[in-house]
Amino acid sequence: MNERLAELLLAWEDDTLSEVEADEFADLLGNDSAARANAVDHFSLSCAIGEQLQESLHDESVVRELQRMPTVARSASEGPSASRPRSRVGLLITVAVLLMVGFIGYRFDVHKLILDKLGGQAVVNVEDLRPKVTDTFGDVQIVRADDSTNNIVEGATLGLGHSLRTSKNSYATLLFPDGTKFELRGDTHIRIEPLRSGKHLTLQRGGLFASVAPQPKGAPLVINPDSYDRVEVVGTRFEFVRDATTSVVRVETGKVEFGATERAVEVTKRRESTASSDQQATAPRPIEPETIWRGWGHGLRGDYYDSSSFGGQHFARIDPRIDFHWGKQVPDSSFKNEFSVRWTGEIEVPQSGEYTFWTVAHYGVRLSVNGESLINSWASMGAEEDGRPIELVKGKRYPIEIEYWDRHGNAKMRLLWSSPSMPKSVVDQQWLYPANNENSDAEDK
Amino acid sequence: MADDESLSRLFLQHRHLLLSYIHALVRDSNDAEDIFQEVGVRVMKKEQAPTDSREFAAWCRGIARNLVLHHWRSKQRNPVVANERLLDMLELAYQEAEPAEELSKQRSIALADCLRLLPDHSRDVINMRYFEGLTSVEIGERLERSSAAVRKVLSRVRAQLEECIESRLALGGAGDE
Repeated sequence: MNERLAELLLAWEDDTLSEVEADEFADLLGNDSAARANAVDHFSLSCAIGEQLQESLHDESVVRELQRMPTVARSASEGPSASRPRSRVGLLITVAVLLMVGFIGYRFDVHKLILDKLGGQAVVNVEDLRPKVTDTFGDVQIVRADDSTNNIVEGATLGLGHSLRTSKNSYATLLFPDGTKFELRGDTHIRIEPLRSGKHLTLQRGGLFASVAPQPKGAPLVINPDSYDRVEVVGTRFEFVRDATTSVVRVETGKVEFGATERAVEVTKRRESTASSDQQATAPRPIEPETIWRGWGHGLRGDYYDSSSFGGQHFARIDPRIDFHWGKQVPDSSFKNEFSVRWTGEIEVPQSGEYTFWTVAHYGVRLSVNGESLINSWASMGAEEDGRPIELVKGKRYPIEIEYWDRHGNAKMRLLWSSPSMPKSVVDQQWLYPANNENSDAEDK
Repeated sequence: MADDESLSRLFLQHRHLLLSYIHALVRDSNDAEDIFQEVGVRVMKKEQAPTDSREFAAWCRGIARNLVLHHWRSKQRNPVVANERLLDMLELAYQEAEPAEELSKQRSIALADCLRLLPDHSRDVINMRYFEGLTSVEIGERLERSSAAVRKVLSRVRAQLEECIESRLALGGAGDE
């Protein structure tokens, strides 16, 4: 093979090609079909070598483990491996052995040993399993193994076995060293399981949105191990909600395995599945992307006041979208029959163009975008109002503020938008960013 | 429209070349394997899979390319990887390649033997490059040699492996002793 081509191929595989060399490489391939054939042969050899080396290591470690543990070996074939479709029998058996080893209580050291041999990846380090609490809002508590609790400080690192509890209208973000992020809703209780074979968490109740970075081979992230609503994930973004009886997982991108180990279903992008203690995970069904809750980075900050004029008792929360129909209810049981809300944050548009905003508010509403007052209808009484059209550019964030109040029941508030290329719809969470005015937190009760 | 069975048959027919293509783009065995699995999952779920073998392979590569681009974005790799023209040339190279699954299998079997026959120091370099995923520069640091020298070694060992595989295949019945 052409020597220069061989050099470029190796440099490409090293990821050290400069722009100029990349062009040269493309030229060489473009001008010469023999060079293209050589390139394919080259890559096929690299690929085959990688595969062979992995394979032989798998085989060696499996053989070794099987020799060490004859009892495990016998049951391996009927182990939980069936739920992990993998191309190689060797890996299947290894995974089965791994799970069985954990099951019979060999615990840490054997896990460590096998994982080490398995993927050639770094052993899962304890430090990688301990998330930091990077962002909190309202009342968030840490619960230790001995049930002692204290209020969390931002930046604190959770230990294995610790739990985090958010109260209503509060939230917290957990960030693992590998970038995996959990955004916890209010009224959520989650525990970091003291296992070292990967990230294991238990969501006792509540909801979360997870952005999971790719996990080491053989060490997927698992939520609720051993439960009917087990979630196993290697790297993806999804929402997971659990109450006393039912759990739902909604996947934004990638895929997760959901359900009891032997009955797990694979939930892929834009699908959801439900499981409960008496019903195994349902077949995944398609969902509209708007129904996925995308964490606290999106939505508007709502400051809720127990009076019609933004005074009195107050609490704040982040609302994913403005689409409420409280009726005769009030947003919080501590409120009397009148209240007001100020939503603040920023808005972005999917495409540049002219946008019209619409509100349906009872009793009254004011809306401004980018400092321009678009709707001012303090006695709207549930009518649909449309604002003056406004020109907005894609990629820019514009400040948005909504003021709303109600007194006589039938309370409702919706924020919609439309453009020549988009039919009228509720403004989705993904286009909204909450304001970050921490100073008013102090008034929270 | 292809049914499930013919779809999996088609997919298996192109297994080695597709994995090779993904490997060529991501250049890491673990990542390549993960993306390959993901392509498989997606292929089996799509309803408009082409039934023509070549079109099918190109279609799979399209899915793979998107996944790889996504993967790169998440890893924030060197911007050179996003050189569109280079990616198009690689696509062309794989379009022209003949899928020869049976031969690829025989080559893998022969390769396993050939790897065992390598002298230790050669196998160490191959291990560092293709198993640990170290770059020539990183291997050079470990061995206190220049990256250019490491690439020379890699070229030489790869040529040895090629030769070993060819001679085994020429003897016929690779893998049957």
